[in-house]
Amino acid sequence: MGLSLRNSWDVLVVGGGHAGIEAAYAAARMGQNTLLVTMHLDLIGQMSCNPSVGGIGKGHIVREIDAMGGAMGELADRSGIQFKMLNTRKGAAVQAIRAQCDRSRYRIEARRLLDSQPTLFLRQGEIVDLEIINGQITQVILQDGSKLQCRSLVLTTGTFLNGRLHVGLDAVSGGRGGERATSGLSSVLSDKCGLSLGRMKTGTPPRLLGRSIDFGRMLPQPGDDPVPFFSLFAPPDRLFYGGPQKPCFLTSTTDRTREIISANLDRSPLYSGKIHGIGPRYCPSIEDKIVKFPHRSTHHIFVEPEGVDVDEFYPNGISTSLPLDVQEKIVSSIPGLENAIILRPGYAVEYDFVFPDQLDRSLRARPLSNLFLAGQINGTTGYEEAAGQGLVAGINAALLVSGRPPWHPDRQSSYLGVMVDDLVTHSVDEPYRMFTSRAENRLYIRNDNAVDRLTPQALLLGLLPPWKAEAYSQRESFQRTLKAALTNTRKEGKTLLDHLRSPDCSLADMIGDGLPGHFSQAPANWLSSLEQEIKYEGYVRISNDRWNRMEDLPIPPEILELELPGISREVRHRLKKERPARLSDAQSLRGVTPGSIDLLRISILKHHKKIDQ
Amino acid sequence: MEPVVAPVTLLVPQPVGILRLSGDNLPDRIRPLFPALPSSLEHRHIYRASIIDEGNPVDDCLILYFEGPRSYTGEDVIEIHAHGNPHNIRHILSLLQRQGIRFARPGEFSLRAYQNKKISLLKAESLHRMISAPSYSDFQEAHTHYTASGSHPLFTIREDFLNLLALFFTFLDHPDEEEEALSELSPKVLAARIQTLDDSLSNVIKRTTKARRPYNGFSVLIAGHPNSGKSSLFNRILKDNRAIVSPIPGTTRDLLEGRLSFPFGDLVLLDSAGIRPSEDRIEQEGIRRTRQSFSRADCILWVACPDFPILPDPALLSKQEKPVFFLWNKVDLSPPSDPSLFHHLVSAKTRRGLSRLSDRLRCLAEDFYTSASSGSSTLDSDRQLNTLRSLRSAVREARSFLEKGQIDLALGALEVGRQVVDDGVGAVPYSDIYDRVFNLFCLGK
Repeated sequence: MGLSLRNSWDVLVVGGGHAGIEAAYAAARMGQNTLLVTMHLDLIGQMSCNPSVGGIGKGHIVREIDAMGGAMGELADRSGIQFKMLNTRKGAAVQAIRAQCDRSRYRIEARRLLDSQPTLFLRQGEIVDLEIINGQITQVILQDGSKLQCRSLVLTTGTFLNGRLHVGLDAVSGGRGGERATSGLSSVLSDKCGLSLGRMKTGTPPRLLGRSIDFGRMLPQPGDDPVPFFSLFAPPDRLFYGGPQKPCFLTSTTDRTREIISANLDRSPLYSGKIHGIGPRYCPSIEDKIVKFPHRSTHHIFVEPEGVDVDEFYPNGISTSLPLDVQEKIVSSIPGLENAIILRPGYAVEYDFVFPDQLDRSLRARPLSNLFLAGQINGTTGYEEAAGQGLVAGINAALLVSGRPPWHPDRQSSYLGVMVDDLVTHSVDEPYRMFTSRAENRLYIRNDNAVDRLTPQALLLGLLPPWKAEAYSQRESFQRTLKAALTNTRKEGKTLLDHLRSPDCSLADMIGDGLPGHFSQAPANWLSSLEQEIKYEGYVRISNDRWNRMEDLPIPPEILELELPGISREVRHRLKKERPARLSDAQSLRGVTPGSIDLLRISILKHHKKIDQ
Repeated sequence: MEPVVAPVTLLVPQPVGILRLSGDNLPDRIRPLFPALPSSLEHRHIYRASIIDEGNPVDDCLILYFEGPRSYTGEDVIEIHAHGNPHNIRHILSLLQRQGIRFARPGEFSLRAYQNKKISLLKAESLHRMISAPSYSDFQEAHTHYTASGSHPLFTIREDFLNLLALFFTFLDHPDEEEEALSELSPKVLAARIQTLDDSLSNVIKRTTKARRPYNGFSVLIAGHPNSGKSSLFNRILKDNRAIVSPIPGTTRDLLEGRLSFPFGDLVLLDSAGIRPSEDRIEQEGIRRTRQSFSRADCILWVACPDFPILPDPALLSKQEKPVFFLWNKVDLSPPSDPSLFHHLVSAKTRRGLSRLSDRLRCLAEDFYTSASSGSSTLDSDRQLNTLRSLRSAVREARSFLEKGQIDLALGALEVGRQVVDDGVGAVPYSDIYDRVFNLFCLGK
């Protein structure tokens, strides 16, 4: 059958951003016939915001995606121009990698990766309608009139869903600077799918011409040496262009910046009431920073290179939707940017999202049997959060098609689980960003041990090619050997393993002094993850105990018919209606408080006792 | 839930005796006893009806009805006001029991109110403290906690703790080398904040342990050799002051407890009838036990008499920072050989010297209550005290991790504290802590 005639797919993914890439790539790895539909084939893997991947919390997600055999870590490694390990002085559990990437290189690598998958195909087009029969999506209809049949559908529309761009008091329809939005899909989701939608906003700064910037007046910010790559299976041995890492540059706003912004607030769509969407507090526009923290005289700006082939820079820290003439004044008030030329104006974008408590833990929209949502459409922000959800949605779309039970990442053992759990349990009231503080079990779910936590699951799901499975088992056996050596070697009356538990002892110092030198030839992560595992072992046990105390009991269906003392009428009503199978399911129901879960737990235990007697 | 009943008033002769009932569908449960009750009762209405037992009238009663969930327990609540003869009240109780209404366990009404989310655990504890407060100022403090929970010291502590967590969240989730807002934050600053919290925890704990006395009030222990007349002294002082001897047995089996209620607060008189400093046991153990009872009391009266002219072993009194008075009892029989050794020469039999002694105790008690009610608020229960103690140990563990540079482990320890606070004071959602981060710092690029 010719490709042009092909119109029936196992998994159809809408959107070519970071969520769409992971979803399509995961489904394809699991052997499903997958189609990715995007509005512009050349812009797959576009970084809409700053040219960087990772960060605290976010870098953890990238590592987890990588451990599951996903794309983001490898794409960032293959397009990175600067890498840094953040938070090195605060403990291994909160350390994470951040990479500056070459924007166009990232797109090329993304496209190359997708093109290399035998069961994955791409199609340019815009979805305008869905055909739904008996709560199941049967086909999607493109603007050009084509109809594509699908067995499961993953929507990753990013900021394009009813997107609107604001520069000053002018607003135009659009999903990203210079790109069209999709307008019909929102009403399909609300009217046909019965989903309730909200509106959010985010923004970008103006982009600047490099040769018009005086870098001499700024503080260079170099990368780390050796380069900390994301990829655990196949980290590259050099940057893609072979050269040294590119620095970023630090400067800051001045009193004049503040005066300019204060004088022009009436021309800001944010402060004149034109923008209604909710923005992220941790990614504020420069207008916001000036208004909310008037006593601060300066704010940092990081001038980040967009790539090695272009002379364009991204001044991270002055995201704004003020009119262009004000943007020019702001830029020129900043040391080093006095004469900087704006290549593209900054703008704010407002877009629709679906309240994510309408999803289940596989990111399936509850009203339909085969619709999955991932990325900003679920009210999150960030490439990494989007990619993580894309992975989860893609896996589950593929599992659904092959008739297997869904996969739910676990909150206690992954940031993916924390994110999915937070989204479906609590919904969102502002764009959701990952933080390590969101993860109660953060001492265990570290950046260094993502492989230990998730790769076994990826193997079960069939997400890894044989060579990665092989690398995993080699790593396993290496770590077993090394751990045995640590246990069997004694120094000053204690095993090396015991010595290593102390914060002042390092594995590197032991190799060659107590341990055979050949151990040092292993990949750095094989060593560091074992070292941290040993250092954190005692504390992880404590924190896991705390969670194990709360055993996830099955809920006997008959118990919901009983009078449950202390549980409010609303909660009782909801439990009866939703009939959760386990306590963890009950916990995810809206309005079910932790207190009522405890009471339910007690009732179940009492119920068992009665039966035993 | 199943209906229960308890007498609200004591079973002593008095004009009115009150029984309180709680449970589902209460009007239907009691209607067989009160055939005259209308077929449907109205919330917060009073009915007059007779109890009829097998056709015979038993008593003429008033019925107060509160329809669930608009009641104290959240279920239907009924009060029966009957004539307060104890035999009559007992009879009515047995009739109710025959209707399948069982006796409530102590505290069961409040437990039900808690389970039905009518009151929080904290409120239940404030209420209990109100009821058993040994002084009016203590009652007032508990009442403030009950009505305005924001004033509760646990809430102030929780505020400080959540702010501390917010600082840790901020510090760990943002690269300090990049966020200039974080220049105000460092391990040193975090350590100082931990110290401040530790101090205020220790303050509340100390204040509470001082104010919450083992015998729930200013206590005076009567000690001395057996047969030196301790019990007659105990009974005489109580009788002369018209005390109602508590019907509840003493806090320990070894002590008899009597309560004198003064306008400023209660004086708890303890008779150590069972304490025998050097008999029955090896000397050491006897002294240890006596010392323990000495240390729990706020004042000690040591009784000697002509048959046992014995002063206590000095080891018993060392480091007891409280007033100790040596009494010479049975002075009517013979005076002590050296009167200067004794503070009071008394006779329980002739009442000689007793009013002076009583006045002295009264003054001590008054001083105790005046200094105890010096403004700062204290905790309502031992459970609350334990909550803060666990929180303090979590906070101290966090500090020791912080000192070793293990900041992620420090936050791990604080998360244990968070669990303690969630369980002990009430859970706080992540978003609440997170809001604090953004009120304090300008974060993000």
